[in-house]
Amino acid sequence: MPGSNGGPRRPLLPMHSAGPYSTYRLFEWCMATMMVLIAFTLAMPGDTMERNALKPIAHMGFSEPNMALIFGCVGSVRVMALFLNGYINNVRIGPKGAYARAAGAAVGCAIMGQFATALVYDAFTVAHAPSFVIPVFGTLAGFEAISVYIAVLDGVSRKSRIGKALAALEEVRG
Amino acid sequence: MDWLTFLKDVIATQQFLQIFVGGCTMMLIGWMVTRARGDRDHLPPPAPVGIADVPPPFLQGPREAVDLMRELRDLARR
Repeated sequence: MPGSNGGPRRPLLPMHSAGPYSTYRLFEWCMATMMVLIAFTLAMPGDTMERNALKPIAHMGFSEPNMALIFGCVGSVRVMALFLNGYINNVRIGPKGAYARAAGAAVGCAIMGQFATALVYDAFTVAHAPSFVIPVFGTLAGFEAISVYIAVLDGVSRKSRIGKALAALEEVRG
Repeated sequence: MDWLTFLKDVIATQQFLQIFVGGCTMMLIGWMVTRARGDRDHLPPPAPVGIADVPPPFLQGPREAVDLMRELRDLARR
């Protein structure tokens, strides 16, 4: 019978109503959350961007307030797009959420790549030892590029039958 | 050989390396975007595996709804 196969065991994550669109986007959720939290920590006073290796980046214009602004804006846009993309999915509203996700992933990829480059340069010139954060940022940059691909691939206006019927009804009704 | 040392000094600055890696990143992103657009237009859509393509533990709650939708789908297929 349909209802009797469960038992007391519950899944770890309760499925949100945006769930079918979000379960396979866990990396993008992770990056969006990370961006928002990074924005909060960078906005706190003090030397929050640990500046030994990233000081040249800060001198090039990406200081802590600027980084906090960029990360906050992009991260909140990504969270909004990831949350709303499961809902807005009809004929009238196009795949703007997927394009917002792709743009946010592109920004994240660029920034993580810049950080990794700065750390590599620091490892070769100043510290004479590689930092363990280099693979962290490098891997984040690579997988952000892959999520750009996935987001653009998701950017199809999926016209469901109900959406098509609603649009046709509105056209008939005028 | 003077221009070679000049070139080495230019390339070895951090600004140049940052901009170079940024350009490579942008090219990677552009390749990903164009590749995804081409795949989206030319590759077939993924096969419809089920009602919702979620792993089975997530389907424990709305089991009745899923079975109802499966029956409706089978009815509509006939």
